[in-house]
Amino acid sequence: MRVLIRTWTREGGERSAQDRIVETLQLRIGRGTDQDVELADLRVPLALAEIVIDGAHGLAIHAKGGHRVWINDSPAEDGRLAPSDTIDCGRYRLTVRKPPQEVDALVEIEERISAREERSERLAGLSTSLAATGLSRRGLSWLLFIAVLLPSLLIPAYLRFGTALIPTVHAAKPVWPTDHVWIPGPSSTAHAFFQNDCARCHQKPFEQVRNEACLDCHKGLHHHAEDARWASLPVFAQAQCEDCHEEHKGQARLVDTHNTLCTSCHANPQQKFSGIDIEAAQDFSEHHPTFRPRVARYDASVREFRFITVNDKQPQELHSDTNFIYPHDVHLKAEGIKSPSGNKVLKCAGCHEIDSSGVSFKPIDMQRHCAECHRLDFDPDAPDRTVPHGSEAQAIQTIRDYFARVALAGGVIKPDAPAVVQMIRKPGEQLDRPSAQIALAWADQQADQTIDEIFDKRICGYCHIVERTGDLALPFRVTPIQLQTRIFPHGDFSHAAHKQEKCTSCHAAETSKHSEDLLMPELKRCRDCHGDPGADSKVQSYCTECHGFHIAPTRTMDKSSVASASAQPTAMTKP
Amino acid sequence: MNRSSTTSEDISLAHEGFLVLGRFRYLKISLLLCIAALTAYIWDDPKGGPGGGTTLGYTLGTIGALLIVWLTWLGIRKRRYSSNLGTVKGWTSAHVYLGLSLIVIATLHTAFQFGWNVHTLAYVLMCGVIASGIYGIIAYSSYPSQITANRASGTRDAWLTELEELNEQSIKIADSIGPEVHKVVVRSVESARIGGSIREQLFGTHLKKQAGVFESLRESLDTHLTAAISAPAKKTNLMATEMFMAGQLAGSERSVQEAERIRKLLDLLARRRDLVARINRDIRLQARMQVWLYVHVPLTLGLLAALIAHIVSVFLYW
Repeated sequence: MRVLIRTWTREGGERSAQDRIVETLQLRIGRGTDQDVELADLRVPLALAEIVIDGAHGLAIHAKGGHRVWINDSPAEDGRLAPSDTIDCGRYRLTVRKPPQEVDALVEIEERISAREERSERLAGLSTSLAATGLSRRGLSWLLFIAVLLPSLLIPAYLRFGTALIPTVHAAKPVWPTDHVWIPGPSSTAHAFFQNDCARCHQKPFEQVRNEACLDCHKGLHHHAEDARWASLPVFAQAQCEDCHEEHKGQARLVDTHNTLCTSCHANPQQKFSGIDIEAAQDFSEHHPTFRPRVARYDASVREFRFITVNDKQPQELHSDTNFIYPHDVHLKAEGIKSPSGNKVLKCAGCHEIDSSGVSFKPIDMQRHCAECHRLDFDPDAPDRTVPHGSEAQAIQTIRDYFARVALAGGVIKPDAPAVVQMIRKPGEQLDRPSAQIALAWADQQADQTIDEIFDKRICGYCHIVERTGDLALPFRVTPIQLQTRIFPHGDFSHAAHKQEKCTSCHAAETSKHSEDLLMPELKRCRDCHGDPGADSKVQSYCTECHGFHIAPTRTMDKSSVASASAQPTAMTKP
Repeated sequence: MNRSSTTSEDISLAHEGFLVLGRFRYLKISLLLCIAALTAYIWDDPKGGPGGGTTLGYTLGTIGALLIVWLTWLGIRKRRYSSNLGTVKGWTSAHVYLGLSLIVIATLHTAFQFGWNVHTLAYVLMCGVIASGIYGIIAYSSYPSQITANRASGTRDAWLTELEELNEQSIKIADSIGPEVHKVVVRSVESARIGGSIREQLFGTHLKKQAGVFESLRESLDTHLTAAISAPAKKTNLMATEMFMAGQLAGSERSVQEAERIRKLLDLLARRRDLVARINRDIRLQARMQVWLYVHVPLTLGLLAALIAHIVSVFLYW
């Protein structure tokens, strides 16, 4: 094998080549002086490898003694060589070139780098600090800054204000970080279904949620003050729904129960509402007005009830007209009360059933609650015949019709009745005119007697106050009754919440002889169990547990309603 | 970024003092701040319950945000050695204690309301910054002395130069002993690793890798050398080289001169092994001392971004 060895050297920046031809069977490469290609690098073994002819024109390299060579930057023990292939041995690089005609192979040899350069290059290439690994605090910092700012502010802001995409984005579960990432806490259950649609409430950026946003849905919400003079004052006119209804704090806090919301005005109502007729309420335990029940007074001249508010400073006024005769004590006797089905022990709940509000009771119903004992039959001979309840005219007509019918039908077993009435009729028999007149006269007399008896004494008059009218057609009239009123229109006492308590522990019904008795406990009875927020030996109670805010009977929260209140509070008379 | 080589000296001097500076002046200020915040939080009974949006919530939030911005600025300030506004040590002390006080201030600002939102993200990032800072305090208190002890005398640059010389000498002597020895020594030199990737620098994983390199080296040598190497599996190749050399020494029937050369080579290789270990230990200690900054600083910037998002979004949807 004829091999042309071209050795490149560098001197003063000049690169020059020196050629020599070697005739050999194997081109031996190594550090040894006996090698064909002698490489003066201590790391190179004495005999590293051999290059031999492989096939017709190709070359191959075989490393010796378990050494390896780097062919084209890959370590190998053997390999075929083609033109342009490189073999790295220590600092030297051998390159196979296409040989000229006269030789079998051309191998170029060049020292890639000097020993000194190699050392400094190796030292420089060491990664001996974190900074040298490519880690950059500045780079990481910017990366994290952008990585946080984009999804937490820029993308949501763009989607919300920069595009019209938001409705589409919200239609599905948002994949992109929309403004829902700004929600500071869970929304109340009622609002949770649109909580990702922030703009529904937050209509203008950098502006607090406006009342209109709430009232868009909560239409017709009642105001606190009915009187226009109060409603127009700044304390109401500038009030925000948010003042009491904080959103994004979970269901529990949608209605703020903090007492200061109420006492900021009610601790000293005169201060903000000059001349207003309400008592100060600073707290519940010590500074709360006593109960002021709303009671009924019957005005016989117009046959109507009117309502007045009384308080415990006027004990003689603490009763409410009912026009109903009902002694609670008789009905609640421990040993019971006589009834058609025997002795019966009555319970409060037998008549007073809590309604769905939990605050009030279902109306007392004569048929359900009274009729079993207070029967409406009027003829001892026909105990099943009863007068209808609730209409005097119908009751009278029923009695008259009844007696006319029995008189004409005959067969009445009453010793003082005329014979024609007592006589049993044959089938198809018709009374002659005189006989009929006698029978009907008897019937009228019986009816008058019975009407007089049941209205005045036995049935109606037993529970009701009955007036004689002097009118023959309608001789009696039952006065209207008033059995159920909201005694405390501004206080919602939840009877349902106090179910476990005995009724009589607050209401002295067992000793009440008249239905006019109020049977209301005093405020101090509430204080037996209830204390202020923070109380440690009593139930901590907030104003809102008994009192509502949106209580004005007709005035609503929307602006037009408030705007109509134009009167100046200074020019007011006491309401 | 290129403070890495200079800070160790600064820090080894500073770590004695920045925590106790001025009889714990900044510790006292921070404690006062925390106690004031706690007292106010306990005493405060805002309508709607405590939260970030109450008067106290806004106050604590403002204090917290200002502290974060100021502490970040302090981080920059500490590098401006030209400034004459207080000492580096003073600012470091303030940075540490006021930074720690943020745990109380910011937690009370949140009123313990957390969720999957940007607000909690800012809080979590802040906790990350503080946690990495706490690691930094510990690192600056313990590593400088270890680094100093490891260095004894000399610098890493001098060691590296020495290592190069030892390598060359080892190869030269190995070559004079024989091609097999030369081969083993060259491979050992080439496979010895200094520094490396982040993981390697921090945990020295390259030592295990080197052991792996050695195992494959030993297998190829086994066929050639009957003087078996009874090295345990976990030895580094440097250790293994010595063991192999010892075998050569024991089994050798060569001349006294050659035995002398082998002994010298063994000595060189032992020195080389110690040197590599010391350099790697130096690298490891330095990396462990400084790695927290690669968490602390980027997290701080992340925190600033989250803080901007938090504040802007709160007032955007007031």
